[in-house]
Amino acid sequence: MLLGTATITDKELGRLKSRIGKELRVVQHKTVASQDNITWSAYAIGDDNPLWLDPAYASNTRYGCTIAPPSFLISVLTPTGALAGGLPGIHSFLGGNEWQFFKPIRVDTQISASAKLVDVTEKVSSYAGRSVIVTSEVSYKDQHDTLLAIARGWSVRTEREAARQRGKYAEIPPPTYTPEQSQAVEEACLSAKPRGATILYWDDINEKDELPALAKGPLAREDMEAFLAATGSSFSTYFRVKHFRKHPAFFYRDPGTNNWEPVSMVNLYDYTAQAVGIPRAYDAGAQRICWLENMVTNWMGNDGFLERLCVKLTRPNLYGDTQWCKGRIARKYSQDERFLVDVDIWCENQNGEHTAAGVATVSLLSGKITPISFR
Amino acid sequence: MVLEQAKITDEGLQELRSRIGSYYKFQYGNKEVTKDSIRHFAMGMGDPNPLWLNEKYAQKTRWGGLVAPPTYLYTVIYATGMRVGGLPGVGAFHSGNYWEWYKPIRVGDLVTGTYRCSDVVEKTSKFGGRHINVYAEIKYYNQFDEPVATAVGWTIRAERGTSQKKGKYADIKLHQYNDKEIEAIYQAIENIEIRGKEPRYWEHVNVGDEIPQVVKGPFGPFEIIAWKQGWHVPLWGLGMANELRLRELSKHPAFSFRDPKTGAIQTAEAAHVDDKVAKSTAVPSGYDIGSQRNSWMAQPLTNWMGDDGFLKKMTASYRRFNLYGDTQFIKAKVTNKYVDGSEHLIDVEVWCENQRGEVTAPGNATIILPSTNGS
Repeated sequence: MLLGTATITDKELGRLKSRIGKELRVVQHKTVASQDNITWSAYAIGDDNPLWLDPAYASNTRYGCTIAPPSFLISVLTPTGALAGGLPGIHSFLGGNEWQFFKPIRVDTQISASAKLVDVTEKVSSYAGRSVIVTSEVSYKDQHDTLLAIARGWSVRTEREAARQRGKYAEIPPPTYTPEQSQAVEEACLSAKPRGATILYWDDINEKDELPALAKGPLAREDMEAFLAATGSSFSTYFRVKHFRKHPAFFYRDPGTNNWEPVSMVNLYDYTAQAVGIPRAYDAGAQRICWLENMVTNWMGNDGFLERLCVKLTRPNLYGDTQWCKGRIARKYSQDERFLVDVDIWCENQNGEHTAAGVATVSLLSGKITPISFR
Repeated sequence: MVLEQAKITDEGLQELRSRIGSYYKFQYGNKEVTKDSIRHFAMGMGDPNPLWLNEKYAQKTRWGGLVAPPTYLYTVIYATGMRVGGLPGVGAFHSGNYWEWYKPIRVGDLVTGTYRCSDVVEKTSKFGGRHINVYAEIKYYNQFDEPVATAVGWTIRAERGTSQKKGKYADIKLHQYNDKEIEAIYQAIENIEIRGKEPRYWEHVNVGDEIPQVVKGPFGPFEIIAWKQGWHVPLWGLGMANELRLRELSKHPAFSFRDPKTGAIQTAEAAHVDDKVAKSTAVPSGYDIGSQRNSWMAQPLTNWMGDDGFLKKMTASYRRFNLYGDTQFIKAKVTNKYVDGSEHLIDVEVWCENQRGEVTAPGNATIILPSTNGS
């Protein structure tokens, strides 16, 4: 047995529940939105918007400098239920995130994140039977103690053995593409472009309008390498052994070398993923949240502001799969002198299955008012 | 066959020689030395020295603040012959470095530099038949225009097809450790000696003294991901995900390959984590990165010399691959001590030895130590 076969016990569940409301000890991967930190995070999700990357370009925008993409905060500290720890040996999948953004994050902003456990709920899943949904809430503040964003992240904790036995995803066939499908993915990748300086006016938006789709795929190891490196879930030698001593349940024995390897290898090796009932290595989940943000910010242009981003991850994204990130205007309204649109957003794989879905709220300029300067 | 297999032709070689002396444009990795960039690098190589990680501690040292490990400079400009390019479709292996450091790399520094092709030399090897050594000289400066370091990096260019036939590594099997061996390795990793604030005086060092070893292993792709959180080389799609990698690689097709089933595009560098890609260059499994090995080899020296020592020079050649499951025992001993002007110097021999007893990387270094007479 590659990965442990721990079960969810009432005792461990009780221990986890007793931490509800408590501040969690967290280690931030990034503490400053330096230009370098912003760049590596953006590269890791395939986003080259000059508003994040090019100081000369960004000096002519309303911000007067580069800003970090909203999803940069995922690489500061990823909001997940796993931040709360607990339930050793019970697998953890990111279930989704609900973000509220209050301020743009200018280059060189120092960021401190604090997290608390807010909810632990039991449920029965078709994937693995008895499961627990664990939700944390993370607040991100700048060096002036101004709140930049709040995010809730929930994880689904499942028994690995139960998932293997049920085999809900075991029969997913390897991905295949017709030449036309491959060409469509490639063309979408090559032509994707952020809207940039041309203002997208709220007045010109209609409900049911579709956003330009982004294609992310086919998923390959280098996508995972880049993302895991940018979000910092990996440790080398000394730090790996220290981590192993403290949290042995995060490691399994490699059948070849007998070395203890981190469970995060489900994102790299098929055989580790198979041990949790998924036929091929799969993405970190948080990537798709970043990709959907990339799609929305590409569309809204430099003068839009992403206020809210909710994404629920519903199916795994496996190696070789392509995610089409799509959006459609659900509602257009004004509130507190802000001109808002709600956008239904989702990821759809090459078989047309939805793997993530949610909603984004974007504040846009109206042609009826003078643009506010954010400088 | 995964990667393109091109021949070294006389025309190709002549064209490559014409590049000697040319300065190259390149994209910087880290532009600013920050607490984050140092921490990511140190975590990524597994070096817990508080001089790099603990601000309060570092303030009390002679440097007055955090400094970066000497080989951090790899993250600023990649010190290899890779950037010289030429010979498309011919394999490239970073195989050695010479370093000379003049100044510490301090938090807040803005490091820039130049990259020049310094030589092209034809050789024959057991591994790849006809092969070419491409040398590059990299000079690093800080924001005060002070020289920080000079590096020479060399890359072996060898025909991938030829190297396959020669199969120097054909007999090597994945190493399986027993529990006792794993525990011994872990204890050696944990129980490193970091001299720290207690000066190691030149007078107290003798020729023949052994420097405590640093152990790195067993190796696996999780080490590459850890390394990449600190090491950023925005060259030919490295560190880039999704559409950015596709766009970069469409400009450098010989550095890329496609998954035959899904069409996913990756860089030739995937050989470090993907056994199939490694095998197509006659290496039996994924393997480490040259700059990573050099950084590991500096660690016993910086551990030993203490906060008051300064690593002045270092040479390392990466002669054999560090393969999946291999462990490197990095050893060093004092070979000479002398005074040059005001500097009290120690020469050391440093080398990596794997669990098979093979020396995989020989090297040497010169260290400046404090003297009991105060200089």
